[in-house]
Amino acid sequence: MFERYNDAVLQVCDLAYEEAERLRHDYLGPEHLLVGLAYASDAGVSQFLRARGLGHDALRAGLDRLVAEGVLPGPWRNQADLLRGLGIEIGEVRRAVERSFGPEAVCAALGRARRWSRLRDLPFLSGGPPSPLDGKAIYAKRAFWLAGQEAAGLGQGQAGPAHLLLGVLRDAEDPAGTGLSRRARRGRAYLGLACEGPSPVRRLVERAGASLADLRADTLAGLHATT
Amino acid sequence: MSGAGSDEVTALAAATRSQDPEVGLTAVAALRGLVDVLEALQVQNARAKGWTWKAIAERLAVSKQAVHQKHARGRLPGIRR
Repeated sequence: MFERYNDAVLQVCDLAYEEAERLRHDYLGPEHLLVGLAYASDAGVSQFLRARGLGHDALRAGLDRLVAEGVLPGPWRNQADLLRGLGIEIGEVRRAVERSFGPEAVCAALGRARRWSRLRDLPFLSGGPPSPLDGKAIYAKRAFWLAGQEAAGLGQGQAGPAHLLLGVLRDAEDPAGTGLSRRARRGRAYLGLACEGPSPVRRLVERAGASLADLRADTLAGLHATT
Repeated sequence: MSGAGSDEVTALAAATRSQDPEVGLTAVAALRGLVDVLEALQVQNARAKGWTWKAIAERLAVSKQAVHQKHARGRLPGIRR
């Protein structure tokens, strides 16, 4: 799937992952991607965002506020930390079982456990629930898909950070939890995510005094100017 | 436990043992997510080594029907995917 996105997008993913890690979130969502875009070395998009009051520091402060308001999960929900509180070091467990059985067998067991987990319809890329042995759940699939659509619609082969921004903005137009099954909503509620009301990205953008529609129009104008 | 993170760990340990049901129940679900994967891993390993469902069920302290239903769905015994 990643050949549809250029290297700058992968760098944004790494930065977004770091942001999720800072907040101790067990998932990677569009709101983390927005911070990743604001940090990206691709100067175009990060400068574009900063000029509209969405620089990385402002976005980080905005995320912290959403955590304080209960829209996004608090750090105490981190599964690895909760298990550490019970005396279990999940990294050690993972290393131990991988030494005994090999990484492939552990991956396969994660897949099998998802099939009968009570939370099995969480909208992962791989369709599984968040076992603490897993990496972060990817909740940004729709934003990535929309980014690909945007790039294809513009006749530009690989999606870059600007396309990803368009995808994140389009995804944010719908309320949180749009198009999810009851089970998927339950999974998100388990992680501590609000399943109704405006999407976190919309809240971030509008609190900064910008609007989704204006940002989209300006991003598109920038993309047309470069082609 | 030593080093910079130990205070944080102690605080988290206290939080998990706290009486706040929200923290305690979330920790239980995380633990279940871990146990589920370890069970899948061990059952697969036992089957690969030729263990019968009955023997596996005995070790897991559940009925052989329960373990078969949970782990053998859609697969022929002994055939790995």
